[in-house]
Amino acid sequence: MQTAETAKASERAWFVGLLSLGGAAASSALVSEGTSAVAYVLLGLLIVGAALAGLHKRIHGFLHRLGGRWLAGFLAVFVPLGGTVVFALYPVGIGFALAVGVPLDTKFIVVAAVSALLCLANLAALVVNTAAILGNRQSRS
Amino acid sequence: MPGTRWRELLCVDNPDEVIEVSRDDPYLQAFRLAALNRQSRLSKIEDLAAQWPELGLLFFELYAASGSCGGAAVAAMTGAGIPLAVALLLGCGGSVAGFLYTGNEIARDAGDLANAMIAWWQHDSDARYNFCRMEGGSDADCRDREG
Repeated sequence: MQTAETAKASERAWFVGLLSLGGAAASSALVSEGTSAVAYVLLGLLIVGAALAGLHKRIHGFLHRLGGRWLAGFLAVFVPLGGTVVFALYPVGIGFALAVGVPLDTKFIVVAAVSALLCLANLAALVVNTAAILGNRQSRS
Repeated sequence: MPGTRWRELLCVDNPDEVIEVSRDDPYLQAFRLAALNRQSRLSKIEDLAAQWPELGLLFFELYAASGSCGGAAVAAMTGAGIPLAVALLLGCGGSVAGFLYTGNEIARDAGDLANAMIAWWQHDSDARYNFCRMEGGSDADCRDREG
């Protein structure tokens, strides 16, 4: 994979990852109370703000300096893959509860919807990054 | 127990519905027990569903583990610096331990959640059956209405 492609894929992965982490932290306020809820909102805003300010580029830069294209490229696929699996768990659990007929509070359904959205965002990043890596390898061979 | 709480526990579609039940109706106690157990299981399910921040923590630990373990491996292979490799290796060990601990907690919670859902469903069926019998339904009719 070429350096520019690696950089794009890596930055995309970390950007989506940071937004997911921020979204997860902020939505934790829905299932928390009091000081914890406020802390989760602030943490979410801090992480999302850091992502929008360009922290993902610094993470890529650090990994690139440390391990070169190999590490940056590996994590460009591995991080969204992990995010897809982790954030798929909650909607599956809540969906199962709803299917059984458990009358769950709306806040849990909202959190499950947020989690499903984060899962899809990570899946999209995974597909785009994998396609970019494979496409680049084919074009070079 | 206040009337409003009982209305929440009842299975009727119309909360204003009134049925007369004898104090020694054998289905009354069974219904009360099933309805209270069902409420208890619902509370357990909601407690477990409130563990959502654990998934965010797991994702963060995945970040830390992948970055530090990959970094440690590359730093050691390329000879980028032994102190850096050792520091990253320590971070790698810590984040992997955290990842495994949180993963284990989530797996345990998921098992408890599945058990609580199955128990809720069983108590719900029992409550519906006994309520139906209190209303005067036959055994066959009430079994049909359980689900």
